[in-house]
Amino acid sequence: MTNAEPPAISVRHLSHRFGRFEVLRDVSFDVHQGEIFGFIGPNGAGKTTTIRVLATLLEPMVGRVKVLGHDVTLKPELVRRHIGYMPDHAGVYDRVTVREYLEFFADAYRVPTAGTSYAVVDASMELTDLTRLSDKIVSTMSKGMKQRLQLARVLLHDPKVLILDEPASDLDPRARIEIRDLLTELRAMGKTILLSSHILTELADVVTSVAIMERGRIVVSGPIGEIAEALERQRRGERPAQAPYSPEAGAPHAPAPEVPRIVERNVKLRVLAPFERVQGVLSELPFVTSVRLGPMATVQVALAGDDRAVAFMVRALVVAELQVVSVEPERNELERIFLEATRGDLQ
Amino acid sequence: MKNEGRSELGWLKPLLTNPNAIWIREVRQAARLDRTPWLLGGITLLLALLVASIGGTASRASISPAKVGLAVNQVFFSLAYGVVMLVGPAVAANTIAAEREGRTWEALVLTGMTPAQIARGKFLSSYTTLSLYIIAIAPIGALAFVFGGTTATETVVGFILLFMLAALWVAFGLAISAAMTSLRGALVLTLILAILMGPTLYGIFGPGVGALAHEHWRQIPAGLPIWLPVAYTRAAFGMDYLVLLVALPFVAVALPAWFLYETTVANLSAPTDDRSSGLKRWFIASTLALAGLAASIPGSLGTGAGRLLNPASLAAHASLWILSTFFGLVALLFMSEPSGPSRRLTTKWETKGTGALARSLGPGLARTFALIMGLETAAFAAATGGAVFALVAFHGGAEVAPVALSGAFIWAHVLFFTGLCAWIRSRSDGVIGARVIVVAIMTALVVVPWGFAAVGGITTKQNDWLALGAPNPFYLFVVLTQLRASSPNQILITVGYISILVFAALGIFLFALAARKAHAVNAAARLHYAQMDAALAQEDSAIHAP
Ligand SMILES: Nc1ncnc2c1ncn2[C@@H]1O[C@H](COP(=O)(O)OP(=O)(O)OP(=O)(O)O)[C@@H](O)[C@H]1O
Ligand SMILES: [Mg+2]
Repeated sequence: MTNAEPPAISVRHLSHRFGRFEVLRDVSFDVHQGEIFGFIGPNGAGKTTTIRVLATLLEPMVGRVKVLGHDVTLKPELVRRHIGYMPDHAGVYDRVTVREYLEFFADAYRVPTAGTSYAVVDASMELTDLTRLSDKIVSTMSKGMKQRLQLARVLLHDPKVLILDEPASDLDPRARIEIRDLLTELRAMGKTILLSSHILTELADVVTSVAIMERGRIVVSGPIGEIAEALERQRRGERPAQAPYSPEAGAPHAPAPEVPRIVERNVKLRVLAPFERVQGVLSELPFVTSVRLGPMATVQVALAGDDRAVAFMVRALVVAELQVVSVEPERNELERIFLEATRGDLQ
Repeated sequence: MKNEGRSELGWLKPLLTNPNAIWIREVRQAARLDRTPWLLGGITLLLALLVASIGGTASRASISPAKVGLAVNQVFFSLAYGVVMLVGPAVAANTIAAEREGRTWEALVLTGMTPAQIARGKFLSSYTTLSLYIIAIAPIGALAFVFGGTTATETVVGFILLFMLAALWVAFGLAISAAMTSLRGALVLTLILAILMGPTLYGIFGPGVGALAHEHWRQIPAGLPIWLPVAYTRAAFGMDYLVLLVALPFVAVALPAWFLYETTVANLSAPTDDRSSGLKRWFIASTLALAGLAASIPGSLGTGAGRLLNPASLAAHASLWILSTFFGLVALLFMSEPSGPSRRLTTKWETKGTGALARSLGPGLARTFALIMGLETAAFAAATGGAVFALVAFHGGAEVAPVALSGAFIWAHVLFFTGLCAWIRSRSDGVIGARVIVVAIMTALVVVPWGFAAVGGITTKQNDWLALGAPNPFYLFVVLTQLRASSPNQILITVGYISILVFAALGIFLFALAARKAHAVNAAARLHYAQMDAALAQEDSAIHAP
């Protein structure tokens, strides 16, 4: 990060209360330009509250929040010009069509072509695949279509930062895949995107960084790769006695089941061999804790260890002349990070 | 964004070249509403039937056609006023609360449209709808011509006034809507208030003031509720015409309209934005207008020879009481002031280079109440001075002492009330609660002293006990009675003078306490932000250090 280019979003020591209830406690994180930033947390964690502060709709009680270097408390007009905010449950106007709805907002934003050609309206309908529906009355559209309309709306004034609260919550699987592609496309256009969600799979492939929030606190934040590494390091560093398998250290300790710090990792295997043979080979390995037959002839292996343990397991299978077709983590990286990071507070 | 000019012409121009987006959208939405033509048709039909039946009954009772025409004219405009009073607020109350309830409000605010632009757009769309109703019923108004008795000018003036009142009622609905989050709540509250206030105002300004107008200008027929159009064409021109028929009605429409507009804008602005300046500009202008009218009306009435009551003294007392009501409401209104301008606003002032004068209109308990007290003093001085001048010039100096005493007495009590409002506000968190406390204290001040005075007076049969009523604003009437009496009770009069000094001093003292408290709160807030900024700056330098 250089001083010339401020982070797209910078949140420092943000705290907020509703009456006596502390909703946000000392929240700090940065979103750098060009990122797709996932804001994850269980219901009621405070995601929407944080997002409303970012969107200048709620003034922070303590702390400093900047968007593109502009303080949301001091310069809300500047911030508003540069953000596109899509609320989690937006309403639409009765008795207007999709085109009229978007033209209204183009007028309100005073975009250059407003009142004449409304080229931006066509462009954003095109981008969100709404062109066919341009004469539909918005209040009669389905939830998912309305969500697309909201997305089209926030793109009208070409904002640099998109702040999307649960953008895919009402979308069908196909629309979800489409929105992921759209987000990647928008990122390629140079936009920074912050989106919140509690559905992890919806984000896994597109986000570059995450912040995990729980009960008003940021549990962990940063680029996904870095967080994964940090967690791995933390795991080994904190509990050396129960370190998971590592080849250099020789035979590992048997993982004690009452120790929760060691993460059980579940791996899905497809091997061209009968289950019993696979089970025979794998149960030899000390770090494997269970081997089960999963659906569609997969083998579900629970093991305590990092990537090296997985590699060692594959080697053992290959050495035993079993043909390994695929090895997949049962959960993706994001889900693992989430489970690990929030585990302490969930009890 | 750029079009933020405040001059009135400044916003008329973009209205024509670049119409308000909200207006366009809402007119479009209204045009698609299926029930609009039915409602329009229904109301028109109903009015037509009512007016026709009245005309029919009157003509069968062999009343002269001219009289029937005048009656039809009066009935039509009274009913039209009823339509405006109900439809206007109802249409307007919908608009802003609907955005909040329908969760479209935030998207609208984030477009960068200012609260003022939003308020204007909402006003234009509601006013357009209401105008449709007026235009739909207009042909019925022409029925009066069938009978005669009114002139075309009078009818046209009637419609102009109707459109002005329509604007006022729309603005009223918007002001309520802007403060509410629930659609139903806004609608119900607006309609209840409209139903309570509408007929009351009609009664006061229609038949009530109409009777006074008939007293003053015999050309205006007695008992007309819709007398103003008739007055314009039939009253004799003169100084009184200018003050009473031009200045007074203009002020009576413009000031409430302006007030409603500023309230709407303030309620649409964020709490840390400047919600004060607009309302204060309105307050200053209203004070100038009201004080000017109060100072000039006693003189404009002439000698009034042969009348039972001295018209100048009567007008002076009425003006003083109206001024005190105005300032009392203003003090309650400005109890919503924060203790000082927010950090956001201070930053805005600094970047814009806002001058000291403009800042002095901004939010802040101390500066606001200092302004109120200053204007109160100036207004009461002007009103009393104007009245005394008129009494000396036209009435040989009669009634000078009672009027001067009333001016000073009411001023002192208003000053006390204002100081009390400031003080209570500085000590409490909630605005509504603080207002309730102020009203409770004033009620106690009215009731308790009279109670003691009454008990004392009844048991001892002595007049002096009335002095116990001095903490009460209505003690003024005791002093006035004594001043006009042939053998006045000097104790009661002296107590009146003392109470003037005590209440004025008390008001200033309470204000000083409030100002000190507000300064302390502001200083604490500044310290808090300074500490926070310092901590953040330290953290920043730690991050950027190699
Ligand atoms: N205006 C408000 N007044 C009082 N409490 C509120 C308000 N808004 C939110 N809260 C509370 O603050 C907490 C955080 O709410 P928030 O909407 O930020 O959570 P969230 O992470 O967005 O949850 P979800 O995943 O359900 O959208 C909740 O407990 C909620 O009840
Ligand atoms: Mg939420």
